Amino acid sequence: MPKAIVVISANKSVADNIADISSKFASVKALHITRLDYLKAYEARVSSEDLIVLDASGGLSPRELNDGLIWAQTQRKVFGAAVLRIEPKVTTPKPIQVLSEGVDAAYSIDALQHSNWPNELIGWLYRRFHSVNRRMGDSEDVLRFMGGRATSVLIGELFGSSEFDAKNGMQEAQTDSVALRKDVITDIQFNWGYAERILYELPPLLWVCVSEALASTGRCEFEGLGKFERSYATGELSILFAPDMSFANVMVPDLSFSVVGLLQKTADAINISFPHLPVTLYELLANSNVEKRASSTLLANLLTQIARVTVNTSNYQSNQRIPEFGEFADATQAWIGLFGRVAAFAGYYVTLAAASRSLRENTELSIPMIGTFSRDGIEVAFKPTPELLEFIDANPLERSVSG
Amino acid sequence: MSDPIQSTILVMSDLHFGADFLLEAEIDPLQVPFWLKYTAPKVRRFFEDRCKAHDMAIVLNLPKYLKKVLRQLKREEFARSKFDLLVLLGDLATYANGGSYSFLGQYLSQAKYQYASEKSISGLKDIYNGELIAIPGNHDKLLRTNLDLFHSKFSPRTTNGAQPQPHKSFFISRIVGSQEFLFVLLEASKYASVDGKLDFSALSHLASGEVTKDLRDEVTAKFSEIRNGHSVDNAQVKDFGLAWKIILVHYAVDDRMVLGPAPQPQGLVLSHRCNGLDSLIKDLAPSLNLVLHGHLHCPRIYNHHGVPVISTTTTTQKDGVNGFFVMKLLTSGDIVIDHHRWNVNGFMKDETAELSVRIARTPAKDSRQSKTVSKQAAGQ
Repeated sequence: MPKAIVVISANKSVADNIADISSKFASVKALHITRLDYLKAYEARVSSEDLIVLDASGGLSPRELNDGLIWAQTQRKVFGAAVLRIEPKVTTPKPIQVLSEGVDAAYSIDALQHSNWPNELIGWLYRRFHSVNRRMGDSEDVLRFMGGRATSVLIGELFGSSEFDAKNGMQEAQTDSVALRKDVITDIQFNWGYAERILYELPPLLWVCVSEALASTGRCEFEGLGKFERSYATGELSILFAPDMSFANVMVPDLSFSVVGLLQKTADAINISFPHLPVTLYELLANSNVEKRASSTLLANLLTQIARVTVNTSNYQSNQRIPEFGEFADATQAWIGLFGRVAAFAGYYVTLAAASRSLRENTELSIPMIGTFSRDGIEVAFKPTPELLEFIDANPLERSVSG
Repeated sequence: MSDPIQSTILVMSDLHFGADFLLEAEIDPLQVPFWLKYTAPKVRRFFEDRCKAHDMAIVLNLPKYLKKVLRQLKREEFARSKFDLLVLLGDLATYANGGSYSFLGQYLSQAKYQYASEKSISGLKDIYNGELIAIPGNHDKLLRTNLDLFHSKFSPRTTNGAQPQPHKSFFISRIVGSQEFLFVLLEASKYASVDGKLDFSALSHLASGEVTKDLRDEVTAKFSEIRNGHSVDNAQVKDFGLAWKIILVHYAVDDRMVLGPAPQPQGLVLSHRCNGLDSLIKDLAPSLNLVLHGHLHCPRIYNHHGVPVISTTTTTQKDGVNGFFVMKLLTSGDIVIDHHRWNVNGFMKDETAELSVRIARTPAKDSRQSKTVSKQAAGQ
């Protein structure tokens, strides 16, 4: 579901600043309101995911400001939209001023020039993931597989990084407690290694799911990537590809999905990644100066932030013992499984964002055994490899496309 | 001259299945205690380096890729729509447990494997005609004193049943196509002295095997019986000279031929050798056509005292050099062998010339003779 930022401002630079940020998001639209009598037209559109920015830094009369504030406060109360107020320039800038009732945050106009301003804005837009009735479809299977893999990788990394404080060798080790390091998953160095592996080891699951779905059902759709469909329209097998808007336009994808089928703990765990995930994706996609290895660095930072919340919310004990490790048999419940699933969720979107960015910079993106994505202007095309075509052709559809 | 494919055998090894499809554990938390890493460094490295479970992407992709292989075989005028026989060369599970064998057993025998409610992946049922010969590997008895679990949970699905037993052999004959085959299944693993105990004695039994004198004598005697037309175990061959006589063993006949002469990381971790196997093959060479083994996670085809030996790599292990062999039995009696390998996101035919060979069937004689492994590409 699209999110809206309603900018009530007489200052074009404020509106442009916010519009520039929102243009990097597939599901965010910025609406610039200069005349308050237009506001009524937007009342029905405001939702709990939306944001109202009231610019009090200049240009609007006191009466207009007052009317705008009353309108914003009403939307906040009725629909749950967040309200930000832009304050005039101050000599000693403070990021958050003393708030008046009905306003969630106030920023000095100076804050708009700070590098952290987009992150502040994203934080207000992505307070929680928005659960809509749309199924993730094929993405759900991929995320399930990636969750399993990310958890396995996590266990391997934990095993490799754990420490032992027994004094007298193996015999004692069998009886002593062997603790996970107190803060191992919140350690940025640990997460550098984990992020590197996530970004290296998750993508094959996505691409194998593409080939598997095309061979089984003839079509598939993956969030943040696009739709693939096998076609014999020309007499020979071809693959039609319709890119997701975010993949084609190098934007943060729509992060809305259904929670149907997810355990509450899993949904809660994924919620932990907000707003860190969209901020990370924004930094990866919007910043042209980030290094090649940026995706793993950004993912490592993201995982560290998520881990801190996970640790605090999962009854994680600092001296987790061996038997607790075994509890991971129910991967959906144990904290390791939860962190693994969130890491996979983040890894999925970071992988696609990195691919989208690579396609923008190199105009071609080759996926071994699958095909090549190429960019021509704003168009993105996909050319399958002969291996993929033969793989699909050798497998008659297991069910009809409609089925 | 036309030499059509009469039958086909699919050869896989070291599948290293985990407890379930979504559990491709690198370190099995239920099986490996946390203090393990503080034991002997070599043991720890073995668990870290060699105990990764299956790769979900490969398990997902394999059935449909094999259909592609079968379609290609049809183009080569192979008349049937399935492989005639599936051979598995051990290490079917990373940690021998009921979950792994249940998962693998269903994957092998069903068209669909259901891994979650209303969620399933393709299985291998439609890929081969139900004939499955499988031997255990060192992982199938890891930290165990016997093969009871393997034989109770997995072997019933195989043609050979609960055989071979530890330190024993089992002979089985089959007609594949119209060709007579004698398969000699060798179980040469070393076992733990106490179930589940991981101590320093593990260095000697985790990864290495041994052809004991008893095993050697048993195999030699059985060969003699078979050669004289008698029935042994589940085997009897009409024409010993013309039958393909193939040894199936998990351990490598010659490590250096597979991994090269320099010391290898695997050897530095733990010995992966099987003492006595090389000399057994050397002595049986006049009666043998082929040896198939796994274990070293490296695909190779080499000669050992005139006997062609195929080293099969991992087929579905995470981070492995994954692949499998397809043996095409020609009407002339020769066998053409192709290798297929995993390449990041899918399998593909391996174009490495050394892994695509034709092996001429050479009638067995009592005297030693050489057999040729021609390095020609898969053309018949």
